[in-house]
Amino acid sequence: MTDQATVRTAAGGLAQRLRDAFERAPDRQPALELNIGRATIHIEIAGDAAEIVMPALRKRLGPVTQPADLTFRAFTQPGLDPLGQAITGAAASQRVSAMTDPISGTLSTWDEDERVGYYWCGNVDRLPAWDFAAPLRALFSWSLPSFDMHLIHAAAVGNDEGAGVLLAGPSGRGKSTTAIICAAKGMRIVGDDYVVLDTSGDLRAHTIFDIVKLRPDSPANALVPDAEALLVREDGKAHIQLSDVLGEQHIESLDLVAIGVPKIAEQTGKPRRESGRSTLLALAPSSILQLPGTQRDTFPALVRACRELPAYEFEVGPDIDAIPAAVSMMLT
Amino acid sequence: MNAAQQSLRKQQLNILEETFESEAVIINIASGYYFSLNGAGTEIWQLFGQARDPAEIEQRFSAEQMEFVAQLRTQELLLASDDPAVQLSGEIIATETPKLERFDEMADLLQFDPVHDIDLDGDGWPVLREGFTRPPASA
Repeated sequence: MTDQATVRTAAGGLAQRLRDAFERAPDRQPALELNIGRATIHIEIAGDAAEIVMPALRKRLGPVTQPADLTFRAFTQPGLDPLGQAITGAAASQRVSAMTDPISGTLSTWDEDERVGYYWCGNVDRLPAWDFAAPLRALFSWSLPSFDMHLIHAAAVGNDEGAGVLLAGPSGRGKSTTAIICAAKGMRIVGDDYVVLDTSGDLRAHTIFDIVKLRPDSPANALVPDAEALLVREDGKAHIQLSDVLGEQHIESLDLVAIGVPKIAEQTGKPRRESGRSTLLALAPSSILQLPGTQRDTFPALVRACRELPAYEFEVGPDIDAIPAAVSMMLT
Repeated sequence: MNAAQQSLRKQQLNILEETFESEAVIINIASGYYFSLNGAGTEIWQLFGQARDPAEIEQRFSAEQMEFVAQLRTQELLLASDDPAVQLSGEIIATETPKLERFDEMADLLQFDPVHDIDLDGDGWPVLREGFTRPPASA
């Protein structure tokens, strides 16, 4: 395994190459502003990167109104290969994280000192579905903990009073179905696949991505028949703009009062208290193991959620009218 | 220190863990496996928060407990260490069969190690870890 000093040097070199390449990138667009909790993020896009970033973020991006706490620069540049040459040395003191994804052909870097991150993609056509549904997630994952906020794999729904339930569990266990059915039936929704867990005070969930993903066999499809799916991606799921189909139910943030762990069953059931251990098993792995930089700060945040919030397992069945009632029990 | 003199202790570098009501959750961020331990298993796991002498362990543990230790070693949760062994204190009381449950579904995502195993002399893309083999779910 490459030693840590070499890794740090390599990461710093990669960030430098992306910085230089972005400066020369064609079709650079004016910065847009995204606010999540207390953080103001400026997003600068060049090349075809808008195709990657905008579907999940466009409803939340606006003109720049205040200085940036964090800056993300996303660009596509076919023919550029920032990894092709030997890495030249960078300052050893730079606190730079880097992540390559050979499946998608992307590179992300985050400089903790400069508070600037880069996302480079060589070919948009190579990107897997999840890169469109949750763009720039490595940059969010690295940067948000400095604000005591953490990108996590979970959904969140709640009531008009602003109280919310964090829906946890691995993919395919009914989180999205539960979240979308609850929202379609009048509850509030913060997000489907990812939310931002805010631990700066009492636990809160903030919105981040505007995409919900539905499997073809999900009963939630019956409640959003007018949705024009962006695209059925190769993961077999329809990617739907949340603000288009359930915009009135969307809410920026919820105060978390419980964690719900759904389980697909033949019939929807009443929530049953779940142990902190089982809840952490449902909540932590898919965040910790799929997102970079989560070990130091995000794992303790998830532990805190499991220790402070009452947790429930509940069965989710085809009797979809019973699902919001089951979730609402966790809010009382 | 040669292999025969090495102690045994928890792997620290790639492990995240938390104990709830005497039962532990462990995530190995290098392998992608995560684990749940019952009460008796957690008690044994926590003993290895300090370096222990394998010979003393073998002397004082029951066959069932030794089998559990072997599982921890197979799953790379316990590693050989050059730290001086600390003698066990108190009696090791077997309240139940120690159990470890492994969860696999995230592990396939972790066959690459993007930041660390970059091929700096080649094209810079990650290198699949050579000789990567999945340890058996049980020892």
